[in-house]
Amino acid sequence: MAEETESTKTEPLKTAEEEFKKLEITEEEESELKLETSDHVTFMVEASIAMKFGAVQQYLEVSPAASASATAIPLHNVASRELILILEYYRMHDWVDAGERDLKEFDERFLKDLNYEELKELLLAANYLNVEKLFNFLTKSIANIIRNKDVEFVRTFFGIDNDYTPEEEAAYREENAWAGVKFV
Amino acid sequence: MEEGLSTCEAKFQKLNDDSHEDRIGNLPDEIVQHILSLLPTKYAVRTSVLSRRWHSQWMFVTNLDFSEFAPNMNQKRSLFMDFVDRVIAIRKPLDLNIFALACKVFTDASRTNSWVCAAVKHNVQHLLLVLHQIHLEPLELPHCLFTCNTLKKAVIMADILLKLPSSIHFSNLKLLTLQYVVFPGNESTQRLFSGLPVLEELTLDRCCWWYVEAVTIALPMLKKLDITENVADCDNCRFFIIAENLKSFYYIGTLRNDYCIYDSVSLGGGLMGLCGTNDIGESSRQREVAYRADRLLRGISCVKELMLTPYAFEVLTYSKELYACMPVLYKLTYLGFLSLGTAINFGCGTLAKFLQKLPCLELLVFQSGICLSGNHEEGSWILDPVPCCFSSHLKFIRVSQFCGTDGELQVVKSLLKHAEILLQMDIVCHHEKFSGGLERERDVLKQLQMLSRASTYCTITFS
Repeated sequence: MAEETESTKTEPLKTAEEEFKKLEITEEEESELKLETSDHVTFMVEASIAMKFGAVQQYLEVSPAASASATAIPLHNVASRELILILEYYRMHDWVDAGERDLKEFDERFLKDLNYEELKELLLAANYLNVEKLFNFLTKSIANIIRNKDVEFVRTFFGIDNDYTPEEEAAYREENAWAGVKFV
Repeated sequence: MEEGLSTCEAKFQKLNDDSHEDRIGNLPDEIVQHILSLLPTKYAVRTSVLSRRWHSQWMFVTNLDFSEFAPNMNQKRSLFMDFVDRVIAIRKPLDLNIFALACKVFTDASRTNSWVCAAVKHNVQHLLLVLHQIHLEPLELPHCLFTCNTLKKAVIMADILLKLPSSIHFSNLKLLTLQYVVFPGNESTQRLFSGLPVLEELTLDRCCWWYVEAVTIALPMLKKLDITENVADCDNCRFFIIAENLKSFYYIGTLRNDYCIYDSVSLGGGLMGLCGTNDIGESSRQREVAYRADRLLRGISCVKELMLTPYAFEVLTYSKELYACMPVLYKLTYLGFLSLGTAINFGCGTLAKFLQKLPCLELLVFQSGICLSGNHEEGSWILDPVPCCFSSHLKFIRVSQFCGTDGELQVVKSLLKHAEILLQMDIVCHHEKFSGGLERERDVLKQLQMLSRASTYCTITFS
């Protein structure tokens, strides 16, 4: 059946199709990897970017077949909304034309668009994926956020329940008198 | 920095959905510790009052940063000193990436030294020490520091006479910055510069060389050397610099010291920032400075891109015999005059002579502006002799701080007339000083566009 329909096609259409196939092949040589997030969304990601993810590298070391086959590489601890952000970050930082200023502006905007919960979620995802550049950027950003803040802010930021007795807390504040001067 | 990235085990174990919700509020310890490592240590230690779980998190930090300057006042100072002691004592014995300390030493050298020793013991890689001493007493940093083989970068800012140990060998040190340091005698200073086998970047910023007559800096891996002299000091040290892989050389000062540079064949960029001070103006130093400037220029004669202060250029004319045989900078493609100082005077003929020694010059930039003074009848000045690069290489000229005087116009006219393959001439006006104001600016632009050009492809921009 298929062959018959094939043969009925006119010559120019055939060549066009072949051209198209060739194009597809070259695109495949550009090569993409299929990644599946924890909420079962699959992404086709440029290999050049996906291979920056330590977790993907490791997966391929264990099961090299996944790079060629249609099986998706599972990312159990990354949700689709985080992967989208991570890809946005890496596509920007991978872009050859991006100047230092562009990247700085991008980073600032990227950070501004995240609330604290999203920031921590993304950090966990970056840690799981083992993406060093983003991990360093996020930890540095969090350090800057908490740097000069008082104890209550830092507790809220990290979602910490204070399980000290008032006496204990007073004692530890005393102990760190030098470090704590700013929040007495 | 990778410590924070969790190890591969458990990576592919799926966390169930409950723990997925749960982990939001609870970053794993190794990430918390990584974040705490990025904070100045006092902020990291402070988190011990947050909750029980956080009580000892800071003890796993891999950076110790006490670089917020320590207080001088007695009571606060002793709190600070005790704090550092305590932190170093109870931090977990993990390898240190960064150790940074800024404080006045006073009589506490043994304590500050014990901290540096602790850093060395924990295989510190990056060290920043900012130390101050009121009196000019020598400071003896711990000997273990000078043989530390994990150290990759060291920055020491200390207006202190260093006492150097007999054994110095930094087997992995790539970057060394010394600021305000007072070097001891010849031998011990030489020991320091002989103990840096893999050093790639060296910065000597306003150090004091009173006690040093000569030192050899022979560093085969050195790529970048920055020297800034302490203008007010009475240094008189002779440097022999042998660095066959040197890519960039920056010098700013008044040639209090003498620099002989050898083998700098791969030099890319150089800056000779000679500052004019009154004392050079005295004839007693003129000759010496001229000789030293000449020697320095010969030392970097392989340079491809060179920035000069107008004064450095002027100094080269102080000695007649040297002026007669200026070195050829046969690789130089870019020459820029920094805007520090006066406009370059074409009238004295030195520039034309200097340009002749630059056969491959492609770009010529006068940030300091140009002028024409001396005895020239109106319109009589010409560029003579015409440098050979004008017919073979020179493609771009930029003149900043252009004021539109007749002298400047004459120079521009002459440059355009002789630069045969020039592609572009940029003229940037000094709008405040422009003689005759906006009206005349328009007039001058018209005149410029009418000038005849040797190169048919040449465009002129005027702003």
